Amino acid sequence: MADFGGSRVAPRSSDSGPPGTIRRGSLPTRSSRRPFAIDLPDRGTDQPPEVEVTSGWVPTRAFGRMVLLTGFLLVLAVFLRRPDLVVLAAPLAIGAALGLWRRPQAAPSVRVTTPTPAVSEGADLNASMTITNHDPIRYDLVVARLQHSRWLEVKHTGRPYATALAPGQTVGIDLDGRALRWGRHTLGPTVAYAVAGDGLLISPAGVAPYADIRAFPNTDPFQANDSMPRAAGMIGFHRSRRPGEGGELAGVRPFSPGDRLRRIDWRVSLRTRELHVVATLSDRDAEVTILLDLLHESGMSGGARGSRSVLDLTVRAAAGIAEHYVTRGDRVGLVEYGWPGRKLRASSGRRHYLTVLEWLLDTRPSPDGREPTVYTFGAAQIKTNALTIVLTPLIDPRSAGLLARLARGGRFVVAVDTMPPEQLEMLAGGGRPDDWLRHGQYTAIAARLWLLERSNIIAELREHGVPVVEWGGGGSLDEVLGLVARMASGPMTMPR
Amino acid sequence: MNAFLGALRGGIDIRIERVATVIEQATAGPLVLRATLVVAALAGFAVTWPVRDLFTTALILPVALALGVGMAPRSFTPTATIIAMVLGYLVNIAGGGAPDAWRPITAAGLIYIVHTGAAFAAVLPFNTVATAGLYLPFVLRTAAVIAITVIIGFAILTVPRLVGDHRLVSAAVVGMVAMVGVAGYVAYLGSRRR
Repeated sequence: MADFGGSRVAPRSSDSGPPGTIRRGSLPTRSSRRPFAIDLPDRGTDQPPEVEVTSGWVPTRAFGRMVLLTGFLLVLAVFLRRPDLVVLAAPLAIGAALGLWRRPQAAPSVRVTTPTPAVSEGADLNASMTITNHDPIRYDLVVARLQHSRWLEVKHTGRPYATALAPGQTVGIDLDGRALRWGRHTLGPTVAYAVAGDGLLISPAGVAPYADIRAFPNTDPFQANDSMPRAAGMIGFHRSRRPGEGGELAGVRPFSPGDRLRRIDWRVSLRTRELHVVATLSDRDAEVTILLDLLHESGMSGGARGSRSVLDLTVRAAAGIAEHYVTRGDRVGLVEYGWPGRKLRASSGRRHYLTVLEWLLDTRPSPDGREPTVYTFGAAQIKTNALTIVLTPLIDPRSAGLLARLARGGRFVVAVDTMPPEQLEMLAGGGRPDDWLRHGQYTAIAARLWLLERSNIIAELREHGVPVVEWGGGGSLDEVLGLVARMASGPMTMPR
Repeated sequence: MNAFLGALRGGIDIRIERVATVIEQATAGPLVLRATLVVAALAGFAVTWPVRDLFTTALILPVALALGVGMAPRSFTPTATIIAMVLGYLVNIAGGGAPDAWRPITAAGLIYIVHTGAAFAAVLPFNTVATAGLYLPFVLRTAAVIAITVIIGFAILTVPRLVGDHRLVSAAVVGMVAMVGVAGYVAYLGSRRR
């Protein structure tokens, strides 16, 4: 007999709390070493309502067997004048009489709840299923079968749960598990039925709704220097070229009306016998637009602890870059290059970072590689003074075309290659013996040709001033960011 | 012909895969319950069938039926098994007079175990994860029904011997009333089907 690890809850009449509220756990926190550790929010309103299985008990096949055999044996007993045949029928009739003396009317209610509807990818998940008997009749058996997203790992996954329920009793079943991959997942629905009356009556199968689980992506650790092509606004981390209130020293100049007294440089003033003040450059923030190329997905995702697909790499990189720049006070916006072409307006702050994570949960590859419509996506939507980081696997020539158009339009573009290196190695090496690359005479050759073509595209992009860099986490973009900043400081030439 | 053989092989492969899945995922509780069903069915045949038939080729039938009850409790097999037991019992007692009281009472108990066990196994998936104490009420209720049957069985089978070999009108009337009562109750249960 297996153990649920669950707890039997007292009958509802003596229960101090509402049914189903087994426990509330503390939310998992992100690593404290991260510069912008955020406690993921708890949404109590995501809990699904308790749903009663539709009533309407029906006889089982055993009921028909009981009626058939009892009648058959009694008729035989009369015609053959054998009282011992009545004895054979006796337990069937007695069992039915005891079981059906009182019939159940109400149906069991099932509910799946989780105190942690928002978790990190790969983090533990706490959930529970509560089954309640509202009937004054005992249920011989309640069988509940839970379905869930394939990216959730739940204890006893794939197996139905069975329990017996006394009148008014509630049973709690622990469904502890793990969120294997980022995204929106469902814990449920739950299909349940009850059996009563010595196995002679069964309730119809009812479906309890599912609970939403949000698994936020693990942000790839990312650090970059403060090179920014252009800054805007009067607050922020980056120094500007304009004088103003800031921390960057610009020089010493004679005092003029309006200067603050605390800016007076007393040493220079005493030496020159004239008041001088310290001039500073103003601090500015910058806008970063992260453009996600979602035209195609490639590779098989193995979750947080497995292999990475293009989409995994794209989402985790986007989360890491957004976390880095939002932490520094910059404004970060996100745009999808793919259908339907969603867009998240640029903003900054802790709340915006949570919004970014929520936005990333709905990231999907574009169906059939469909491009966004001209009404939802266009180069005009990306500001000219924003640093545009394009996360692209460069699978489709349209992605290269987009990069070229953005560069020609005067945007400061950095292309980050999100094709997982292991996939490129596999394509270059011809794959393992059981891989699809070994199927067909020309498959491996075609793969190598495609790789060469991709290398050509990357080289052409670099020639046209679009730096392309492989995603490598912290520091991997420093060189290209510095390059873009230097290009921005030079004279702008617009191609005819 | 080749297509037929291919389809046949595919069907066999699917069934083998299914059996492998069942063996892999089966949990202890449902397995013990189904094993109990098989044992009870075999014991029932041993009690009800003539001993001479149990050591012939006819033994295949009770073994097949008993295994069928364990493997497919949701099918018609439990009903067929109990009917086969009753028919074997009738054949067994056809030659002789009234049997010893233990035989019909034991047979009744085993028939009930097959019936109620199959009813329970039919609604309990083979890979169920069960809470502690799921089976105890079922076992206690079955034991209670069998205990009542033992009392009633001894009353039915020993009272006529005490009364003697003569006919009583009152006994016939009581028997008829009991018959009508049972028939009415069964009809009542049937009428409450939804």
